Amino acid sequence: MAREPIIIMEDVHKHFGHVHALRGVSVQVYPGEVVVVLGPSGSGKSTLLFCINHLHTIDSGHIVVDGIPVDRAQNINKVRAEVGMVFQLFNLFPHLTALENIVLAQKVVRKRKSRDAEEIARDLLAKVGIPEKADSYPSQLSGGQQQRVAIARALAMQPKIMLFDEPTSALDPEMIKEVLDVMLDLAREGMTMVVVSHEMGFARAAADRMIFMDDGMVVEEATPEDLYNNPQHERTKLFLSKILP
Amino acid sequence: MAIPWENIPWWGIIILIVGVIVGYSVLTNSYYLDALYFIFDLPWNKQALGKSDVGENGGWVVTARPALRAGTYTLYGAYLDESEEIVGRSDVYTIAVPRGAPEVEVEPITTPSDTSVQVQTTTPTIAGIAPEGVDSVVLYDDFSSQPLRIARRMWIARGVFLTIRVTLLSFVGAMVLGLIFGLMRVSSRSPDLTINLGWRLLAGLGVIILILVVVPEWRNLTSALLVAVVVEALMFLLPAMPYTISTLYVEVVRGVPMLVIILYMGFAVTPALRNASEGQVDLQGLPAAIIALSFGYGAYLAEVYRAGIESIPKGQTEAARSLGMSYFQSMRYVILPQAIRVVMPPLGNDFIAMLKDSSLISVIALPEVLQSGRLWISRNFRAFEGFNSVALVYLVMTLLLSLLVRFIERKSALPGR
Repeated sequence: MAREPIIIMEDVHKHFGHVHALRGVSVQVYPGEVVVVLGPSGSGKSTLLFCINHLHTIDSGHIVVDGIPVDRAQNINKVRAEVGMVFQLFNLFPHLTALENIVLAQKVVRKRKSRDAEEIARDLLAKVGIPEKADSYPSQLSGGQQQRVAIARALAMQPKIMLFDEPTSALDPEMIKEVLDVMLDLAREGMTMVVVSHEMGFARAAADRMIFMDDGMVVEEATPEDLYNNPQHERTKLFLSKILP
Repeated sequence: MAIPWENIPWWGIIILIVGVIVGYSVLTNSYYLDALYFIFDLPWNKQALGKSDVGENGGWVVTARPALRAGTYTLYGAYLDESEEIVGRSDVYTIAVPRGAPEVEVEPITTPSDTSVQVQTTTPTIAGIAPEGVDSVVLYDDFSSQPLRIARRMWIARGVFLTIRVTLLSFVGAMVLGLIFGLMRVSSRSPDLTINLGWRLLAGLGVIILILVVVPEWRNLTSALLVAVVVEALMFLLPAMPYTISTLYVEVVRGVPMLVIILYMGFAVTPALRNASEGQVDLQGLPAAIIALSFGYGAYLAEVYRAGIESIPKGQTEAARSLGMSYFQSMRYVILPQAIRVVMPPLGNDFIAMLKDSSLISVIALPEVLQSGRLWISRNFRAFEGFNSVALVYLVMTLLLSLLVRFIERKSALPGR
């Protein structure tokens, strides 16, 4: 693609105390691309995600999101408003209803009026398939429903990029499909997505590119087909043999 | 009414028996009643304005002292016999004191009336004839029909209501102090001192110049250098300041007994301030007590708030910040609303503890429950009834508060908990 990448990570290093979580990671993501990151636990895939929206600071290297250098941004909150994030444990605000969860950041960050924010919220709830749960509290929702509300909450900010940190790993099997369907729709609509996930079905259906990480480094990058059928590195083959049936 | 005999817990029966014994002794032993009357600073619905002996022909004259404020008053005379027991009352004299009335002697009002009579003074005189057997007459101002006055009277009462007043005001103060220092303690223990260092050192320069402008004596090389070093050092350490200052406050204040803090406030700080401000700033009595209690308990509440805030899962902050909310926004809309619910049981606990610690303010001569009790004992020479009444009053207050705290906890619990 001849366009400019919307996310550029160059030689990023990140330490947590003695642990070298990211060792010189360089990644580029183009607008509209769906990139799936996989790898064993501790490989740094979640850390990668958290560095993109500066929830973790980096020790060296550059990260540029939508043209703005993230580690030296004047107003990091503005950058974060353009990058939506969906977490493994949903992280819905338990003291607010589903609707209020989706409306809060719209009013407080985007300064939208209550009525507009609510309308957008209800539309999004319908889009993710649970319009009737608008006035339910998170504790009254199933895991799959909570995650869909979380996706709606992130989408309400109309971000340019959506980050997903193992969105279905904490869900019961029957609920995984409903969340993946929402993510598939999003991918088809052209949203730029970076997804950390083990869901191969989703990767094959939606990913433009897959990145395999191990031990803080990018080991291999390829299209889903190439990665499955023709993995280049031993570590990739080893990992795939463990997770594929 | 069906009594579920199988479901009454054994401790309920014990409490019932103890309650009956206590109730019986309190209600039949008139000393208890007298002590409680004194501690509650009853009555709240009337106020004595003056006393007069009854003359040979039964006549009595009472002038209201101190001066009355503008308003309508329902006055009557209570007839007392030789042993000061109330044996009757006169008819009602309704008077109105207009605004701006002077404090002068006027002709006494001798005819009772139900419609108000204007008097042109703030110290009116009432006179009447008392029946046989009446030795003296006390003039009372009856405001039992004016709830606002009753409330105000209760608010400034000695004993129980002073205790409640001090505890309420001090707790509010402690909550504010606790929140401020608690938030300061949540900030990073070892922050990055290099962030924005340039700006801070520059700001330090501005502070140095300001100091040199305000204090001309320091405009020589050695003093200016000293000032510069101190200011820039402080500026460098600024990110670590919130944690350091708040830790200092919490550890020092928690390490000093409450009694010492109260004595310090009452006998060291208050006189010093009074001298330094030449009588303008006088914290004698209530203000000193409230400041001392707020200051002392603020340290404990700071830790309660910090624990509450830190108990909220990190994911909540991550989610809030990832949506673009600032630190203050995430605190205000996401973290603090959840932390408040976590923090309420320990806060309620500390409120009950403060209620009992309020007895310590008796050492700076405030007539709260304990002090009122001791005052009563010194006049009536009955220590058991006196101290038992004091203990009873504290017990009833704390039990009621415990029930209230539990009620509030249940009401504010998140749905699904």
